[in-house]
Amino acid sequence: MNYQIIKKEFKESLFESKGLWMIAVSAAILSGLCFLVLSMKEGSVLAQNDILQYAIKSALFLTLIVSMVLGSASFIVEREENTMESLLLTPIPKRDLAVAKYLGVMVIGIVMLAAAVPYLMAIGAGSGLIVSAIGILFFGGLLLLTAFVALSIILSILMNSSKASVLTSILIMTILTFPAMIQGLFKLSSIGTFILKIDPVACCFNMMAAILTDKVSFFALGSYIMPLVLFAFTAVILMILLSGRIALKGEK
Amino acid sequence: MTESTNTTDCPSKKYMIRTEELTKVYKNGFKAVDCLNLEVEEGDIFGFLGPNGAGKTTTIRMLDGLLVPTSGRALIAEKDVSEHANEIKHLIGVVPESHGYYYAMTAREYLLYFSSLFDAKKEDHQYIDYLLDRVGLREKADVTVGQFSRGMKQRLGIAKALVNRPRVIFLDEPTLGLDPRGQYEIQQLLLEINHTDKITIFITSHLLKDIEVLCNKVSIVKNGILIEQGSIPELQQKYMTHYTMVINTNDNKKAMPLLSSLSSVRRITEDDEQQLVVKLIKGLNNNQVNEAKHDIMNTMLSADIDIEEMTHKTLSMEDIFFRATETEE
Repeated sequence: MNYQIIKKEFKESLFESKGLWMIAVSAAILSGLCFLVLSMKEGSVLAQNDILQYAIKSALFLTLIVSMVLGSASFIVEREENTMESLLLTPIPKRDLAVAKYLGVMVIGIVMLAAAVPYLMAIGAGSGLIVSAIGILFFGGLLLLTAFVALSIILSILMNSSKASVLTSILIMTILTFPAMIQGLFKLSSIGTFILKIDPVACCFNMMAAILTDKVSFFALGSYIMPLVLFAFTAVILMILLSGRIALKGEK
Repeated sequence: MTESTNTTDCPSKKYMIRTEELTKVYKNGFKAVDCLNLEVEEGDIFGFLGPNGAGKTTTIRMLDGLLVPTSGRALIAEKDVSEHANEIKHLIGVVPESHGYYYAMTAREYLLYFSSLFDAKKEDHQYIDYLLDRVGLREKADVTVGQFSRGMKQRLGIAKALVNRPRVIFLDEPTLGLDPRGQYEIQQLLLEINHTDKITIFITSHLLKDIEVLCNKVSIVKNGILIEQGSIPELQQKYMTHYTMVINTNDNKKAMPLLSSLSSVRRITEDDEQQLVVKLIKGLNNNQVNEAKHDIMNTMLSADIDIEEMTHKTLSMEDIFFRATETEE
């Protein structure tokens, strides 16, 4: 693996693809959320663990959306800017190019997850749940990030325009997040229940609820963790397999 | 597949680029390149010409390994491109037609980045400085590429193509969109690279003046088919059906009827610069041409007409290109 590409991808995602702006906007949203929660805390009827869950969900959502937007534009930007040909003429294997782009975006995602930690500490102060909340943020968040970034890189390999790729990645994220958002409705049918069991976002949210509300031990969470791990693993393998289809503009 | 050796008819020739019946048919059935046989010797500056859509870029992409041929073989330094794709990437440098740049990088960062993709070594920093010097961008080394003019970008593109110390470089329309000074600078740079670094150059250009100045050998393709290949003098000889002279005299009016009466002269006209353009009859050999020249001079001298200048008119690359591509219509 050539680390120069990862370094370049990280810098490019941060400074050229407006990554820094997206991180700043995310931080502003989290700050707003934090201010709202803290200023209404005493009168709130919400339990602190519920508030923490909202904060984690918000941090995850922002991280995933920013990472997916950056990832889904990665190869397409190279094609649109005519830099792909020069890249493909180097001896770097296409698989390494895909992995480098992937890691470049992953670093941004991890930075965003880390940036959410102080907010969780502020919101969860005195609840005794901060460590669990941070653990969930990084464990569940990293697994989701792994999968969604890989999916976004796949889209950037397969699609021809950055608009189509970004929109499709947001659509995929919406579809996968939707069951988790309206779990009550989904639980009404057996198919809905099944979807909730396999939907990685729902699994992550349910795992979070199990730890923060029901105080279930980490080792009893296999049914939530498995779909998440499988989702992440499958997405990364797919990305590696499809990296062979990295091509020039008009030749796909 | 075994490695092929040099062709049997010319065992001493060392081919840097060779294609054997190279063919590319795209998925939509369009045959971009059709049984192309090219031979480029080491140290050549080879011009690859053809109208738009003739298959030039497709050929370059098969030669640099970006496209897989439908049939036939492409060889660089006698190595099959399909079989030694990675090895070939170390032997070649490419300046594509639509060359993109990372605009936020400085020229030095850009070259160092590509250098690192071809195995970064410490001494490469020195080589990058040498390259920046070579392309005249040393003073702009720490300026971002986004601030570069088109000519500077093109020179940076050439430096990037040299970053892996290639033995051959491919340039697809390297002077496209450049002003005359920019074109001249690129021409001089390429001649220098070829002469000093002994790098074989494969160039496509619509600016036939480039080809005339740079290339010692050219190929003309049309609809993916090779229609001409040879040195520029060879092609000039082939397409020059009539030996033509340009004569400066002190009395054109008197000279024209006298020369018209000569049996070896086919036609006499006067050009915009008031020079006589004398076209000899078709199919004369060298001796006959010399005899015709003597006749012309004797005729003029005996009529007391001064000959100020008498030159042989050669075909330009443009003439050759038009004639070759028209012939094959």
